[in-house]
Amino acid sequence: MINDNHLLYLGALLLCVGLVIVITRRNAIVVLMGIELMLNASNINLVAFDRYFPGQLDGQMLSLFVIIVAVCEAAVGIAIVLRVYHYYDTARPGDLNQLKEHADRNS
Amino acid sequence: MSQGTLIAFELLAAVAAIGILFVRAVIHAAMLLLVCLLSVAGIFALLGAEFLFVSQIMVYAGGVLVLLIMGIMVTSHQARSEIHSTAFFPTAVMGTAFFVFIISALSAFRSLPPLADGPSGTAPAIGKLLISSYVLPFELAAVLLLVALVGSAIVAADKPPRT
Repeated sequence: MINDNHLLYLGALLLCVGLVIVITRRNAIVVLMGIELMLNASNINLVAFDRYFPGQLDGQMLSLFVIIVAVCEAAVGIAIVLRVYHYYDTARPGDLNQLKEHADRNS
Repeated sequence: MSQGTLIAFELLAAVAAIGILFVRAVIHAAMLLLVCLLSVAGIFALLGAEFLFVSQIMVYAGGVLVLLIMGIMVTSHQARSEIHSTAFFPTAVMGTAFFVFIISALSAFRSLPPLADGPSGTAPAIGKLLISSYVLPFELAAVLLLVALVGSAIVAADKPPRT
């Protein structure tokens, strides 16, 4: 019988790629894209594990609510990015150093 | 069971996701994210979750991605996203190690059961579940969506309203 775990491999790959994107990218919108990738990885895993319980649909319901929360997160995140851009004239999270005491010396 | 189609969609999603990691222009990253999200929608369709398939296309490809592209158009003049060069190599090593760790943990895992063939119609069952045993999360999700909509409109407004 064919090993059908490749769905879980794809979920793991999307999670790790999203994590690396969130850490290494210097644009706030690309960071939001990485978060969306990680939420998609969780959705894939939920739908894959839903096959263990053929009569029930709890995994699909949970991933539906994950999609809803992801939409809210994206909307609020984009709003915050726009606000920060209007105030600081940049969309790079590394440049938001106004609270640093000696920003030029410590950076 | 169209196993080959499933694997093709998975490869497409994986290649698009890894491409986001290396592409320079932000709008290209958005396009690759669109490919990845549509491939995940195709995977949902092949797994018999047609309600999630439609929601994925409508919500992600239709909603979230348009929002992200609007954000790119408004914020990025040069639309370039340089990679954090000093942090990239250790983070890539960490991500690869994390991936290998998950894969090795999954190898001890028993295989997923094969997908049951036959007429799969999960949308009516999901609809019934939404108004019976999931009615409280459903209503809470409605409140959450309303609060997120109003809150993001207020946050992104040019002048915050005086209270």
